[in-house]
Amino acid sequence: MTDRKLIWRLSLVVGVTCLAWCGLGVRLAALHLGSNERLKERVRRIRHYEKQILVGRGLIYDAENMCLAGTLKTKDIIVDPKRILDQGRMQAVASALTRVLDLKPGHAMKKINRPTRRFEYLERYVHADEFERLARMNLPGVIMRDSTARYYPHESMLCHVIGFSNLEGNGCAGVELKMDRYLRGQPGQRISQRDGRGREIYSQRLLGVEPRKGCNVYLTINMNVQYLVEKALLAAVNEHNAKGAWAVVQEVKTGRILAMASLPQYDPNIYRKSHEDEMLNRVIGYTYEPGSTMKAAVFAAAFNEGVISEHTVFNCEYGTWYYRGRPLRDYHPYGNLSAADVLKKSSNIGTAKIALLLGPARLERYLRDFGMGRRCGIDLPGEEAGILWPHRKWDSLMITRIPIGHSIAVTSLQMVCMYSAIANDGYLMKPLLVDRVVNDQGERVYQGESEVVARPIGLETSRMMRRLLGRVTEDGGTARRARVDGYDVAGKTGTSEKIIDGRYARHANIASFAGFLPAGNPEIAILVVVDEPHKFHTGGRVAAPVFQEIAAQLVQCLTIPPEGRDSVVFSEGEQLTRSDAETPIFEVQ
Amino acid sequence: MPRKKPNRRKEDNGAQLHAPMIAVLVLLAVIFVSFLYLGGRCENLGSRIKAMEIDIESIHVRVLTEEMKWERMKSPKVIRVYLNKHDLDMSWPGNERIYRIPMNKRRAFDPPEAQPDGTPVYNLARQDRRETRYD
Repeated sequence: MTDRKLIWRLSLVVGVTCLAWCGLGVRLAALHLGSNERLKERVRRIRHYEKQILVGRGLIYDAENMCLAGTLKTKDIIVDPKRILDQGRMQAVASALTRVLDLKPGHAMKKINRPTRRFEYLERYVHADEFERLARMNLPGVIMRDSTARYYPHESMLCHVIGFSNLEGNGCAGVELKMDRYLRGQPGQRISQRDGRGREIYSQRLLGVEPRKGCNVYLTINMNVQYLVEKALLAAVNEHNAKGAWAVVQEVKTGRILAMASLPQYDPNIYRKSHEDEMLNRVIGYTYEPGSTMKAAVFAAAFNEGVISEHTVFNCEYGTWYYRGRPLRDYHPYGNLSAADVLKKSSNIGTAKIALLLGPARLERYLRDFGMGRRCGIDLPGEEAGILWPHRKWDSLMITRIPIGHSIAVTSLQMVCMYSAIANDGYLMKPLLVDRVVNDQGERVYQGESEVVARPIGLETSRMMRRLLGRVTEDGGTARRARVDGYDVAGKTGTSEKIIDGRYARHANIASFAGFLPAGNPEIAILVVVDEPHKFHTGGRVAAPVFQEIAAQLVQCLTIPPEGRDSVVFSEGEQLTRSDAETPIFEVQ
Repeated sequence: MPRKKPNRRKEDNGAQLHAPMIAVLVLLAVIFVSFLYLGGRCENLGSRIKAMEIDIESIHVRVLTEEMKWERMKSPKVIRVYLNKHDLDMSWPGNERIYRIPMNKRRAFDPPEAQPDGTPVYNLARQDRRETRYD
């Protein structure tokens, strides 16, 4: 090869190399100095890192600091079918996912076997135990994304009070809905850049807003009491083959709700599988004709007005009395009965005659003062007001029907508040369910206070009513089955027929018992309602035993002495009052 | 004529750096090294913070999960199931098994004094002494 030829070839190689370098240099200069917005935007998009930090909602506690609702950090499991199929690992990945997540056979395979898809939700809200196992397996094409899920550790217990929140974390029922503005936290945010492996580069963090936890809500409910109530109701429903049952326990002096149960129930963890009927809180959302439990209000009004005394005698017409051409009947026929015995025997005729003496205007005023026809104002959504027509709209029969609990519709909460008022020297208390709301700094942002709503009757009337209602559970009364050993129980039974298709249904009854104890110095009021019991249908036969079962355990659970907490008899003839004993008593068992 | 001796003082000794320039260069070098050091340190701290954030998050997840498991175990319904499973009958004590001590008698139950061997002694006599002293 000649030198000339060699020089030529060398020049060509050098020229081409220089040209290539020049090209690269020009491109580099163009990339750096030119506008290249599209490219810059693409790089920005790839490197951009934005993450929402979820904290979930605040917690809900009972009066004993037992957690009723909490938020779990979960993960959504997502699969990338194309990637899995490209790697030919469909079988292995599907079987691993099925095993760890306990999926239905074939479900994972069906989701993965979609070659064109890059994103498929396999399972949402997977708990820590499972997603940690899955993370350790390091399966290709399986992505885990942060999420939070509400968890109710007591499942169906207290479900109607707690309610539930949906998948987006919004309260949808019960306390979850009513206290949503407190429970709802504020998610944090991080804006930063990611590295080649998708991890955040801390030094490039532009924004880091810390999340704010939702406030914790403390209820007045005592879960031990709630359990006793639910257990007794469930036994009653099974025994009487009833359609449902509900009960509420209230502290007489403060209006605090200690338990509120309604059957049928649902599990808020799987609320989407529940029937609408199971979600109804019958204590506040179901109105019914209360029957004879309403009589207590009529007697209290008549005594308070001085229209009658306990010794006033009424002719109970031996079971049937015609008023304005329509018959009014007693369950058992009676002749002359004193007012005290009219209440004890639950005579409809005697009560109707007392209401006539009272007059419609005064009767309506007292019923409204006892809270009928308006919402009690409890911290729960969906409370019904009941129905009580103004007396000007009453027909001529209603003055004899309303006193016996017909032509009026009430909620169970209204009834228990009414009995609490009778027991509480006439003071009607607002039912208190939310005790306090505490933020993540430990500061109280809301404090529930006991509140007197009205005082329909005076002290003397209250005392008389406690005594007369106490006779109802004695021999000869309608509620002998409500007696609790060692305690004086006061209360009233009620039986009413349900209205179905606009007519009273003879075989569809509501049996109820409302009462309080100890009768002399009441501490707690309890209302029990059993819906459509079979075989037996009266309040005394069906609801009173449930009351007895609840009350007997309740006094032990809450350590209520037979004479009440204010007045403790510790030996014969000696008595202490609360002024002597400022601090609570303690027991040696 | 003798040759003139060169003036060594006036001789050029080559290019000399001025002191202020050297100072500036050294300062620049120090700043550059410091920048590199601080940059590296920040990077290191950042990755440590990030790792800790991840740790805290995972611990938080674990705590929440365990708390909820514990709450579930404490549920009265679950406790009853386990009591029944082990044939344990636990019920609230009846009134006949409760002795209620009224407030004015409670003073008799002062905190127990421990004997040298650790046995607590409920010294009811102290109550009498105190009352005597007050009298």
